[in-house]
Amino acid sequence: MKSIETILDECIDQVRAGKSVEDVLVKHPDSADELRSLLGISQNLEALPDPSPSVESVMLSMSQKIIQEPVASQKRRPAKITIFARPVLLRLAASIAVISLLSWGTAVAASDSVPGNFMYPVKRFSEKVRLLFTVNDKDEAELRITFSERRLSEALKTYQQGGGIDDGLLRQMLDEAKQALDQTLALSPEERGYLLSRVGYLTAHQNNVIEAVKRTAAPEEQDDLEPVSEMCGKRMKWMGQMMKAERMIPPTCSGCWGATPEAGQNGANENTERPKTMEQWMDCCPM
Amino acid sequence: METPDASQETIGKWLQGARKKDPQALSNLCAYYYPKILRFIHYRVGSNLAEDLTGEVIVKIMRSIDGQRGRFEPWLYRLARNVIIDNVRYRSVRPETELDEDMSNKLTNGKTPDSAVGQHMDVQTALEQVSDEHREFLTLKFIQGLTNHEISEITGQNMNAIRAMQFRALRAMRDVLAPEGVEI
Repeated sequence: MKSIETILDECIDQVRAGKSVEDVLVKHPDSADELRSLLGISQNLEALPDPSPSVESVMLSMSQKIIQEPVASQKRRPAKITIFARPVLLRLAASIAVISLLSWGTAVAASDSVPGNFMYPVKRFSEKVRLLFTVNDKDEAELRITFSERRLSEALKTYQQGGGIDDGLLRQMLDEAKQALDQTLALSPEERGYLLSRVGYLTAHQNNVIEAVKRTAAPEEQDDLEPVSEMCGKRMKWMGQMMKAERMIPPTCSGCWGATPEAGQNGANENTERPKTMEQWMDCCPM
Repeated sequence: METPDASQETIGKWLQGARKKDPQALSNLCAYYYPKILRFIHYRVGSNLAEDLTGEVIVKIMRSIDGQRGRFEPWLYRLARNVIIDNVRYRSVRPETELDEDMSNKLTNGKTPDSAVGQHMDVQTALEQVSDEHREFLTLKFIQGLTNHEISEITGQNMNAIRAMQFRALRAMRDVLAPEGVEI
């Protein structure tokens, strides 16, 4: 003889398959009353409506959790510039990310966006997600280099579109490059050498671009560019010294390393005691 | 808010890409499953925490999808269950309570027996009153529409235990609803 639990389960399956409750109960007259009430409740549960909460809240929660749980390497050296540092930006990013996520991933469409564009926060949000995906310091360093390139590209686009010099973007460009350098500390000498070389070329390229823009920029824009240009110069010199000290081969780039200004107070110039370890070199990276 | 349509083949491709941490595939996968997760959590813990915890589940998917093996949905529901269990706030604001007079009043207030909306509210309120164990089963089986086999994969219970749980959970619902004379 079947238990009431088994009978109920079979009845539920039959009702789900399309039979009416009364048809199903014909075979179980002894327990029909009890089964009827339980089947009724199961049907009422199945008919409960979908919740209609704020989708934005979910994405906001998600983005906050991503930001609250930085990758391990970020904990070691806190970022100088935090993406979405202000709640208003966070909310904006989250709300637009909702549109992105629910319209089947339009983040790709955001790839060419610049600050002020509707999709730009999606782009920055997706960068945060990509950082979350990174599983090692080398991958994160590669990503940081990419993001640094992007910030310069965005600054150039903004400038070409008549938006002036966005020195915030240029500072972020420098900050991403610095974070890429930070990631190299835990790598093998070979990997570190490769990535330092890449950051070296990146910095030299960024400096060349900024110098080129400076030549055609209005005087007040030149003033905005000067600190960034100076910082690139200091970093190039610092990197050249560091790589030589660590017996790495600095990137060969005509005019990149010889014509740099003297390292400032943060840089390791000829007259100060040279750092002895990679950690010490990183600590005196011009910021 | 409805779950968008997608074939098993499409979902399989997203899953494959998501395991390799392809952002586009992961975005598609999360967009597809997001309403399901939200519905599950909503009826488990209530609307106040559902959005927050759903966000947490999605972040956990992103962080651990590369190590996911086997069937995806049971894995996803286990992830969501763990998020609910781990949530301290949930436990602190939702202690297991007997149905007291206030709750009984809540069940009858504004009740419109002929109204589907009113009945939904009664059933939903009753669902909040049964034990967490029963609520979890009822949510998986009747709100998420899972089979006993799928529930077994999620909870680790055998079929007999699941059938017994089903019977007890529905009876618990009836015990909450019947005194109020709700037509069931």
